[in-house]
Amino acid sequence: MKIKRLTQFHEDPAVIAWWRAWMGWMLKWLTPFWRRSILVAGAIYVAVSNPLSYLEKVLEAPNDLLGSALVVLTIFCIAWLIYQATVRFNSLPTTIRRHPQLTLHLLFWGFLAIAWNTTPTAGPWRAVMLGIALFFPNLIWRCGYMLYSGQNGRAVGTSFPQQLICLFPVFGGTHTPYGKGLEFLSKFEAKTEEELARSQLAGIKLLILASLWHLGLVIMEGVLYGPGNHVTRALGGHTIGIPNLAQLVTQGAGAPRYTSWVSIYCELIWQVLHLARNGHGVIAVLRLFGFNVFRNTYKPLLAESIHEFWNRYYYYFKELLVNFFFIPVFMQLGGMLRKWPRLRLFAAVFAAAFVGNMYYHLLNKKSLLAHGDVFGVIYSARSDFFYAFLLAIGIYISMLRKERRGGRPLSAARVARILRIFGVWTFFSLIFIWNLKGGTPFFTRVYFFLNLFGLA
Amino acid sequence: MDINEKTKLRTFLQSCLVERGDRAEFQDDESLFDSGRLDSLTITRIVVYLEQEFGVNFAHVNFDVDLIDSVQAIESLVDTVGSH
Repeated sequence: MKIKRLTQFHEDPAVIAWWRAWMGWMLKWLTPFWRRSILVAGAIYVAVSNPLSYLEKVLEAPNDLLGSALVVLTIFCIAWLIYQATVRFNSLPTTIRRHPQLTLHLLFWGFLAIAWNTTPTAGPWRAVMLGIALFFPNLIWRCGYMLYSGQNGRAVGTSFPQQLICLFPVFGGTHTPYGKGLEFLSKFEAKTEEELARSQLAGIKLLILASLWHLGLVIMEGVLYGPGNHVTRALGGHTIGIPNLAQLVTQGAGAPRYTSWVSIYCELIWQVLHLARNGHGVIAVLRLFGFNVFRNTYKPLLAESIHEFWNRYYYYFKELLVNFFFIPVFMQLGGMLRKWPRLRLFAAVFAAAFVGNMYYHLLNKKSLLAHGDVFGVIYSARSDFFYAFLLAIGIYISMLRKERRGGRPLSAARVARILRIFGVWTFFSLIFIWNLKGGTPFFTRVYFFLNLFGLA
Repeated sequence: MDINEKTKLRTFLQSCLVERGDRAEFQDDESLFDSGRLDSLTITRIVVYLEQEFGVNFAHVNFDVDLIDSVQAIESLVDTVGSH
């Protein structure tokens, strides 16, 4: 009971009262107006600095002041135009109103096609187009959420500067919009001083957890992996010396089997801690500002089914796939496949976990994409394709099993729970072989996998 | 939605919650998804239930999770677009 009270300190009325007494002046000052104003100012900074840092990475994109300014200005204009479409959603043409997300993505691909068909001598506009092609994938899902709010009639009354908070988030994140869009953030925004205090304490809890997971990563690095860090040095240079998975996979069938098994589980723990640490940092900032949104990672290593792990591992990415792929496909197929519910579920799961997942990763290969190297994009994503395919199969089977249970809870026996958790760990540890960064060829990964079972 | 249908709906939603280890009671106006008590993958079960029990055709509904976020919201949805 004491432990629970300690870990749930942000919900403890006494702690909340203490925080309110201690930080009263700040809680009074950080009204929705001020917190949003600070985030808008941060967003403008990000909107200017991020495209410039993207441009620096690609030589062909403009690196002179005028060219860079044009890219930033054009990106602002594009965001503003999409905002206008959002707030005037009902006056858009019927086809666009029916398929706003599809329209957004088709426009982007149309833009890319034009950029691909320009020649290097086409002048400064080509460089500006390349700059936009490089940066817009970072914005596309955020614009998608903005359009989504327009579609549901919840964008009216929001201002463009406020939308910038989520379009160019100063609180961080990846191409995946943490905290989704402004509409979602607003639902969780503190309206009273008490709610703000509660949200900030929840943010502090996440910062503590992020620090702990960071420590965990440092210890893992020092104790498990070589050549080691200051933890290894503190241990007199001793380390267990398990090679990390990326190193082992390159050996294909030649990797030592038992070490490989240990390494794949270590990699899973490493990935979870890494994602949790980074995600907690982002969500903590949002909570400190009074947006008490869900965590990005919530105890995935305790998940007892594959779909539950997926739900808890990378929440905002899962939400992206669910919102933009799973739900639209599941709803649209309702009429056609009502009599085949399993096929309907299969189609929706594959649309999200396979097609959506792949499409998301395809858009992340910005440099190849901007230069029109479609073959290069597909070739470099072979392992990602296979990973997404296995993930989709796993989630589908897991959801099907849940449906077959018909609402009956799983056995609460400790051994049964441990076995289920172990099964989930094993599944994700194995499929992560194809999700590792680096250029290890696809078939080398296959041989590594087969070698785990003595088949290579 | 009559009282029997509503009771049946509440029992069904309760089973969705129990499956996630949540045995706490819920009010008619209480959020189920925004509160995090149900996750977005549970949407499929609720959608299929509403299609089968109330003839709601989601292909013609501009779906948003808020439409099924509480018993009240579901009641309102069924009364508006349900065919029973």
